[in-house]
Amino acid sequence: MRIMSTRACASALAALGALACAAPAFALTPTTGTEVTLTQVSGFSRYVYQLDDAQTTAFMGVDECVDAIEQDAELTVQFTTSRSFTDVLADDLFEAAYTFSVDRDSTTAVSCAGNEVCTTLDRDEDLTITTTAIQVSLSARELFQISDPVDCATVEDDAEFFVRLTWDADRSTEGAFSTADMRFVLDTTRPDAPTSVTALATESTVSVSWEDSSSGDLDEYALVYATASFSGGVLPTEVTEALSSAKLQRVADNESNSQDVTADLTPEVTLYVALAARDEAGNYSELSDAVETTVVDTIDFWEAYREAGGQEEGGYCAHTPAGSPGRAPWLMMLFGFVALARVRRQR
Amino acid sequence: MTRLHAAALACVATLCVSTTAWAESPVSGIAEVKFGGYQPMIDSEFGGATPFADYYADDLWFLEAEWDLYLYDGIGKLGLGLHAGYASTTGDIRSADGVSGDEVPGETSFSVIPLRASIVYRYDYSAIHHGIPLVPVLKAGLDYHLWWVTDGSGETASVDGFQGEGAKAGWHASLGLNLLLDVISPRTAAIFDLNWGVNNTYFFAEYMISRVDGFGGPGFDLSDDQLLFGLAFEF
Repeated sequence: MRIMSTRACASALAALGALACAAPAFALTPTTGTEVTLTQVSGFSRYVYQLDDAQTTAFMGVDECVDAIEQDAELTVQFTTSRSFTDVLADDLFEAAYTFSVDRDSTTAVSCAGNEVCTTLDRDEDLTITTTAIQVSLSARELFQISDPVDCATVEDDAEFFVRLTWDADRSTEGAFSTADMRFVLDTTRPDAPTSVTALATESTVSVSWEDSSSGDLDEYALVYATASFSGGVLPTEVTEALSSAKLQRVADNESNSQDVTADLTPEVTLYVALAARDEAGNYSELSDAVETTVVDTIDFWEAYREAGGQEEGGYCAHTPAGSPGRAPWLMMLFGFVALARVRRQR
Repeated sequence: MTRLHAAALACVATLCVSTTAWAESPVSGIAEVKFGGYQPMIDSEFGGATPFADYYADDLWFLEAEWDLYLYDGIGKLGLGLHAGYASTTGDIRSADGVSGDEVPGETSFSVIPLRASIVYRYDYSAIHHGIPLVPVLKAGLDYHLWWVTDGSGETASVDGFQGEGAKAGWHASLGLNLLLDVISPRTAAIFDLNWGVNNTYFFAEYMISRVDGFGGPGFDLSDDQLLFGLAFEF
């Protein structure tokens, strides 16, 4: 499978208003056809951070981009239809298959018919057609126009790459094509780090609060803590790779700005804590400034009870003094009840 | 006689005559659901320390289900019952120095599953034969309460090898008063019986004394005197 043109993927396109959609984050939403729908994006899960709920948008961050370019990955998209595909792709129905790119969050609708910014895929070479499905396999390097993995971190602007099938589902209105899209969002812009981080730690919990990152596509926050000193301003993975005591843990979605995280810490030790934001494509921000806190020694009710001199030792063999009825009568009543229930049922 | 008095008398008369207006299905037992507050006497083990009250200031909400099978049906009903309940509460854990003043994160919980077996006597003879919609109930039996404590991470608490979980045996006795709800709408009660086999429905209050301390053994005292309210469905 080869992409026919490399120039066409570089820019955003002219508009045809019919397909415009005004969602705030992704105004140019992938369309689904009346007969042909995108049903599977397979073979590249390791190169995609996550799919949206509709399964028509794949988010790829810097790490996924680097991996895909290094591996020269092929990204396979499969469309299916309730009709026979050989029918749909008949000359009088099938219009074309395209790829094109737009700036991220573009609100400009794109129609590929006669539009040179779309790259037309070769029906014989680029499409694998069965009677019920059509697969489009794309080289990540050609789709994204990136050949060196290093460039994944230096691309200035995020972009959206579409794979589109178009056909004449109506058959009566000339030029009224239906479309089905798959979108790859290549996000190479890291979010801003959260600020004003505060932390309080106990043996079992690290409690953090922060001021939100100002980035618009946040997905969650992640906590890094270690008993060895580290500084903010670096990626979380750099700290976890450098320090054996460092832990990286998801702390909250983008709706929260404080959370308690379960931990296993030693009382009275010094703990260094920093926070990173993470966007929808899985990109971590740099860490906030690390804050220092001492792990507070705490006591729960069971400890307080024992420290106060409580005699309870736990366990299920109920301790009973000599001469007391113990558990035997209770068990006899239980067995009696069961026996009674069985007898009554048999009647 | 005022109009109010006249209306009250008419109402009582209606209640009295309407309880036996239909043919009921055979009765074999009763199921109860009840709730109330619960405050175990754990701190009674100490002279002055109050660790339980320090962590768990409020009463625990207590929910219990009971299933009785009748052994005798004559002047009232005598049966054998099994109960299972649940009560739980959480409190903030505290710093060990006690003076840091920090609001340390994390909670510690205390939970109990009371299991009981009872001899039950329900005096419903007057309700059935004289239309008096009140049924006194006596219960007494043995208890076995499962309990556990969690630490700040939600795991079972542990100190010096002693796990914060276990069980205590004991006994209970209770006196309850049931109000037969069928008298409010005999027609609905008849339909309930026809469709679900529920002969009678009661709202009740029950005062229960439980002594769950391993019959005087050391350690937790899960005893309490409780006022419970609930619904009972006789089938």
